[in-house]
Amino acid sequence: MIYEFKLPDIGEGLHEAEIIRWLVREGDVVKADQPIAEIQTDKAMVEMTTPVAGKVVALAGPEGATVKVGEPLIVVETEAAVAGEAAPIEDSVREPVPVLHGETPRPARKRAIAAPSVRKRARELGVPIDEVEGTGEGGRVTLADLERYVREREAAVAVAELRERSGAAVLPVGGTAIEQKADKAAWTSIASTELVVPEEERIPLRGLRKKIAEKMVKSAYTAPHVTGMDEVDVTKLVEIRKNLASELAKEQIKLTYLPFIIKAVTRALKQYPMFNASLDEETNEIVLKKRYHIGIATATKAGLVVPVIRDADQKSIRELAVEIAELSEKAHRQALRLDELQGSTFTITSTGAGGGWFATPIINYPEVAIFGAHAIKRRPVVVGDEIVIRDMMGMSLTFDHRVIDGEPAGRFMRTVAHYLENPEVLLLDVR
Amino acid sequence: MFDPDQLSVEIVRILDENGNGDEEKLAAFSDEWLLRAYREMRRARVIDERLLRMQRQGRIGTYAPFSGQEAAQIGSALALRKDDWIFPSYREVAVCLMHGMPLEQFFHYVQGRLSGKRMPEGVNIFPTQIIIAAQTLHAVGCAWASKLKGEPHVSVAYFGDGATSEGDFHEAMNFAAVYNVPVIFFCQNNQYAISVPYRKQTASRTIAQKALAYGMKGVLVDGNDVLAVYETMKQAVEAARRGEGPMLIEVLTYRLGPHTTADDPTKYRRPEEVETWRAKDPLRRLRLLLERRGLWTEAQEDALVAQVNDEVTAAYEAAIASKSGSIVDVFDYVYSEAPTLLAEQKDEVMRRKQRSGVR
Repeated sequence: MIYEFKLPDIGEGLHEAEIIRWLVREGDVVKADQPIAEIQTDKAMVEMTTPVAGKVVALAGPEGATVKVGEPLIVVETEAAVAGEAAPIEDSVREPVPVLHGETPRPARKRAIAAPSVRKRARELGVPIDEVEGTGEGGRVTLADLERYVREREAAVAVAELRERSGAAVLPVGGTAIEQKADKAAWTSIASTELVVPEEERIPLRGLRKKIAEKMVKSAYTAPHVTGMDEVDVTKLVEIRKNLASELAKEQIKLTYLPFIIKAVTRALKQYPMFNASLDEETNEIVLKKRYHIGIATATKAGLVVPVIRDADQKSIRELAVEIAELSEKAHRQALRLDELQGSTFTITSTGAGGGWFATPIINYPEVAIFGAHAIKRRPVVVGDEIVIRDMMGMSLTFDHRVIDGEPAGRFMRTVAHYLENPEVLLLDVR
Repeated sequence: MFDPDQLSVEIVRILDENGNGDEEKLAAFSDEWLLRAYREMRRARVIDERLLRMQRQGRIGTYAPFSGQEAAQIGSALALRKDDWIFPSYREVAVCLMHGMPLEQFFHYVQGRLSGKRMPEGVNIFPTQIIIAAQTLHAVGCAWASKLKGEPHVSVAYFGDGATSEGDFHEAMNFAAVYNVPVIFFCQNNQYAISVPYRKQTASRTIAQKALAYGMKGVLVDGNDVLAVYETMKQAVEAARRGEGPMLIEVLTYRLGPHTTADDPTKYRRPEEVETWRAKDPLRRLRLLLERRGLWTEAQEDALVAQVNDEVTAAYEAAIASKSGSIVDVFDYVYSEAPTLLAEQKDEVMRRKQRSGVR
């Protein structure tokens, strides 16, 4: 009979353990209660013994591999089944432990010293804590160490991706990497003794990706989202931007539509304060923000980041153009400081020419609305009684219906549209 | 003025680390008694080691091993009468087995079965106390009851060095002394409260000396010497039975394993320290004495170990074969007669159970 010895929770609430050393090999005949492995849990190094006697058919993985509680640690063909071949197998015919993972076994590592709160945070961040260098008392890993590790890893991810693009081999970054699915495939391969090509690849949800996932879920499942959409005639804006862009090009400044959109949005926000707000769920209060810090959703190779332009309403088109360029460049280098990523009061996502005509953006929680500026296309539209060709831009506004109703949302959109359709109006308040 | 540095507390010891001792004192123990003590200690050790392995195999829940403390536990339990009351902490498995707890019963406990907390009638052991030092109060209460009822029973609170830092310990000691009740405070000082070493636990050189402040007798015993533990306990218990009041017994010992199966002692103890104490193993020294007297052989040892292993397997199998508990059981054991609210809750659970088909 085949007996799978599944890793029990040998501490109190353990999730997984690392195999430090195998004390048996595949093919070994073991007695009940015989030690089979040393494993390292969150709490302790523990010697495991087999509950049954028999022949070891498979091991969970190489030394250094991680086994989850409830997954098989070893598979034993119990005595009844091996009665005829109970003699120990000679060393010379012993095969090495089959490597069940794609990964090369790592040497036994040091065990990190860290407080439970730090370990928890490391799990949340997907950081293998034993690989983090501790700078605390007695080499303890601190929260600051985790932050530093994540920063360095994110930088390494970018480098790895560059290498990938240039065709060079890519190393899994941050340690344990892609192993869980390979695990399953490995168990299958033991059973059928032939190599099975995995049907899927599993990429751990970690670092920035995990953070994005958490933020999106929090927003989508907290705020009832409603999205309004409209088209806006930006023919005049297209003309103006073209002229000003060539003006700024002399100063090596790149001018996109975004500074104009920011100006239009901040002016609309001043007229509709409810949109520059957040909902304090603890106190049941709507918090109106008196300053206008605009988050700019920015796509990077590692994922979406939202750098913040502080007091955007106080800045000129030129200043905005310069700051956007700086933030965007830093975002792509993953060099944004934490304070450049925090404190936005309203967010603009500008999907640009590459995006579609409309979208349903997700609110940058805990803000209460997000403005989407989409592709600009030359389209036939009716002006007066004629069909004419105009530069049209798709726009969307997602708002938190707990705080904002549809009617003011429509007015807010029309106000933004008004400034985008008539950018010269912005001149009225230039100081 | 009292100066703790001037205080001298001598340790009671009969059998030293190499199984030698004062022949006159040793003569007081019969061969039978020595053999019995050794067999019980060895049995306890085998059971303890098996339980630890079974926990690692996912067969039982969290377990607090006692290896190294067999002399303290068996020696003290041997000095009790069957009617005496025991108030154990979670590490007193050997005491409880000695005092009549069936091994199968313990499996019920570590497998989370409600029946595990309910001692059979006639086995005077209170449910295992997890709250540190709480059982010291229960023991005092029980002892007071015995005194009021004129029953000749002694109550024994088993606890560790860490418990002496709890408020409950102070209250229990004070009350016991004031009311002169027949209770023994039996402290197994294994020198670590989980990972907190003795020197960080208390500034007192000994725990035994704490008795003085309460107006109680205190004694320090070599906890790895089963003869000394037994002799001291016997005197204390008989004195309490005669109405001479409570006593604090500190037995100095060492747990060779982890605090519980969720603990890693290598984090806070040096291997050399553990080795030092391994040399003081309570089983080793008694076995040396037995061998010198020609009372014990390797074959006897092997037979005993095999027998106990079979006993463990049988108890385990009996436990898992027995009926597991039901959710309604939780209402049945706290009150002899359930209060209205609890009865209503039980009815509701039973109704829901019927609806949903939950066991």
